[in-house]
Amino acid sequence: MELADVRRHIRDRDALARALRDVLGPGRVFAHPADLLAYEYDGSVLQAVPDLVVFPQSTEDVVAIVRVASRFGAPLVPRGSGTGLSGGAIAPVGGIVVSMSQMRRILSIDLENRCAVVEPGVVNLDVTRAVERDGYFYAPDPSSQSACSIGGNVANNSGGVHTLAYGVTTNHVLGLEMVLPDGTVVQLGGRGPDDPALDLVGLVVGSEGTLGIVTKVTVRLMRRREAVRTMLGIFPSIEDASQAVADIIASGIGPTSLEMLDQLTVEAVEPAVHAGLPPDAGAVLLIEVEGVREMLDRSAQIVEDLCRRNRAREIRVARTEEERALYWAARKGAFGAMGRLAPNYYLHDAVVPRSRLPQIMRQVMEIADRYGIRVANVFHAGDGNLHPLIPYDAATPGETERVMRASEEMLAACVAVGGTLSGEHGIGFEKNNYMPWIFSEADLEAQRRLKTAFDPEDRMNPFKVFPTPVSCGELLTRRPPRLAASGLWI
Amino acid sequence: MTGTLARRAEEIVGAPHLLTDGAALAAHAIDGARPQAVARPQTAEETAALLQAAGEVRAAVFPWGGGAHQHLGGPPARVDLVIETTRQTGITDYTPADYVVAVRAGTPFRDLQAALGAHRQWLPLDPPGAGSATVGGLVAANRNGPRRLLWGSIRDLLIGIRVALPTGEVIRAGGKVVKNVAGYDLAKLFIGSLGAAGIVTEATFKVSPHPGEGQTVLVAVPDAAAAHALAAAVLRSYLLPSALEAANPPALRRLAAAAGIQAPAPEAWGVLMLVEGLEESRARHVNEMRTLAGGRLEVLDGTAHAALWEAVSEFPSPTTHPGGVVCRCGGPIARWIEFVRALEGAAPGIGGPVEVLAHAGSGLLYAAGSEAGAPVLLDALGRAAAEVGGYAVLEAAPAALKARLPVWGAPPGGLALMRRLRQAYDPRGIMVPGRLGWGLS
Repeated sequence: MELADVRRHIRDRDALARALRDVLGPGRVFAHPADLLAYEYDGSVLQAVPDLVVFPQSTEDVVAIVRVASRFGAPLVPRGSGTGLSGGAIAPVGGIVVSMSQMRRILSIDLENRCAVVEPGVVNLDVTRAVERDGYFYAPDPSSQSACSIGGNVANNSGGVHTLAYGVTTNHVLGLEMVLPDGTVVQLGGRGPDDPALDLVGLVVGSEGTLGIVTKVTVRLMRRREAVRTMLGIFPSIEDASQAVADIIASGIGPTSLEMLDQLTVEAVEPAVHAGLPPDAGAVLLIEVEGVREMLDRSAQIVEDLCRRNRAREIRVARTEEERALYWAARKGAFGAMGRLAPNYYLHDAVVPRSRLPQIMRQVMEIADRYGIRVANVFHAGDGNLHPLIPYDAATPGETERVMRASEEMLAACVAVGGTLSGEHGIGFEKNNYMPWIFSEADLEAQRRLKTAFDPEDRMNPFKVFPTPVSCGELLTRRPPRLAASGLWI
Repeated sequence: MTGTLARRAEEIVGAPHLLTDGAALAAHAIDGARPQAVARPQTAEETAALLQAAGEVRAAVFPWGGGAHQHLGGPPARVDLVIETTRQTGITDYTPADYVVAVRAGTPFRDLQAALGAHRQWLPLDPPGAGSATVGGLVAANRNGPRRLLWGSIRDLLIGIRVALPTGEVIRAGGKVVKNVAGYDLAKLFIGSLGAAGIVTEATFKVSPHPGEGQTVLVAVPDAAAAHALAAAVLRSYLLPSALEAANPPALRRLAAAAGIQAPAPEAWGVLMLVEGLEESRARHVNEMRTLAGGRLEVLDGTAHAALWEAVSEFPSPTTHPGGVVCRCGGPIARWIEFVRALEGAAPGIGGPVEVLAHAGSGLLYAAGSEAGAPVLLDALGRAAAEVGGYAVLEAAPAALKARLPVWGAPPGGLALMRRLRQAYDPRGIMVPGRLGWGLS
């Protein structure tokens, strides 16, 4: 079966566009192929053309869009900033992409109660920017945080580089306003902790736009820590660095970040960032500790001792904010730097139990060797969240397929040791057919009941999350991805 | 319940594990209503088979762990079959280096903590009923304690779950890794739903290194406004306490008695801060609190400290307030004071004393009073909840009183969706009839 066979044919696309223009005005409905081009993509390696793109500016607009779409039987695909990495914001079977990019107001900030109400199109980093002068921040910080939206974060339950200490999006969303597929507007949660009702907020976060369209998000704000210490440990091998990670966690000092870069990543990133990383280091560990000033010297000493005990040849401590930014640039710039190795790259997001990291790294490298591909590894070592990066050239015939096959083997290896398919990027249309690797038919059926309770006609973001009769292979892009060089990924 | 179900249940669990004698039924009464049988399945599959059999005859099913939190919820419409999880015990997966533990639902919480403690780890929960509750019961009842301020709640710590559904399947949701976005976060459906969506048979948690011995900083202040101001000052500071409580005079007297110390002054409010972690960090917390509090404070260590926080955790337990009522209120973090003001305003109608304990950094407040004053108490809290955009529920009360009071308070947003979810997961409506609010079960 091919995607063309399952495309949801809209009865009268022109009439649908007219009906939407009647509601939104002419400028906020895209129907021309040239305009739709930018919405073929998100941050993944997939592409598919939507029928239309619309730009609501209010909850009422969203309600109107949902009602019109329902009349025409058109699927709806909510889209934030389009930085998602699993094809969640593209329309594999057609339909209307609902871009939330014009709903980007911060509606209220309440520092005393440590929360803010924002529209879904607000960029992640803008929430922190709005409150940092007062000493607060919004904790989930994906590497794409200067571009990705809060709505997209809610859809994917996004993580970041400090989730080790602060958790992921679901731990920081207090309430939601949502438009259901029948056009009803519901206010979910927001009444305080341990709400006696069913936890609909918890069910919607991470649902990848398949249950409805979120129109307002109440986020938790956190008080900034008094002081931070950022360190780099230079290790001879991944094994040594992994053991240091285990020992640092066991010490109980509660690091806020434990990020690892392997040798190939260092090789790619150093010429771009000039962080002074030795090109022959087997692994570089970025360690961050935060808290009250008095504890930092002691915590840093503990970290240093544990790194040395695990054969770190050097430990650097950022002495200035500039130095700290440089260390982070090395970590966050890793993906952009891949452009130096090849025009395209494919990125994984598997998670394994922490103690299995060294073993999985060996398996990943073995698979890469067998397929004759290179792999650069950057990962959230504290969480066991791997991000193997495979640089390749999509223009070379057969290369994409080879990379995908190798990737599939790597993912299978992670699942075999008790891991999962995605730690923070989502399932989307990229990994949905792997879902039976980790869930039984009964498990998936239980998830479908949730979907059906919200969206009985399967109008919201169809062909996502659940296995489909068609695989994503058909949609693999042949072009370099747009964001590849910008360093925005993960 | 029909004889058919009893026979079928006996086939499933074996005769020794189907209890029908008077003493067993009395011991499993829920708000005074005795079940007709108590089944004690040994596995998730047996649990699911029992649910399947109950569904066929539309029997009313109530899950039971340690029985520590059966006071929660509305009075049951009817009770046919109690399914007790206590034969499903033990850790099923625990690699200390992974900081993840999977445990069967009937495992006593204290046994789990002991097993983790052997590796200097713990599940950072300090719920009421910790001495008798099972792990599954804590999840189903969503019981959390004061340390949630730093460590989070069950919602933040539960990463995977195995459940017997009312339709007879055994399913898993989530997994065994600390970060996981594969599929819907279905575990959230079972936290706090009192078994309405299914019976938890196994739970997987993130665990942490144990922080070691902590200290209490106790500050006596003249009134609620001063307690609120001090708590707000702590929250505005860079301090990172594990817990931050505000207790009114009678609650403070109770906590002081539990800790074996003298209450600072008979009519004082107390602000209690729990500090854990590195010695340098604890010292900073004590010093800065001294500055914020204007010099007067008391530091507790050792047994007094431990006993005090156990009493804080146990404050909502019905055994702490025999014959009385306990309400829980939630709302924006700083607005717990509005509930206090509402209680002060309603004091003449309530009559007797009301004990108030706020998790002042978390947006939760418990109020405990006498049975006689309960209707006025609950009404005052309900109105305050409406004002602050929060909620007020009755957690514990004599059964007869529960039937006459709005146990669950005002309806939440999304109620129609919740009904559809109940219908989807429990189409025959066998689970916990009468327990959930707003006609949800």
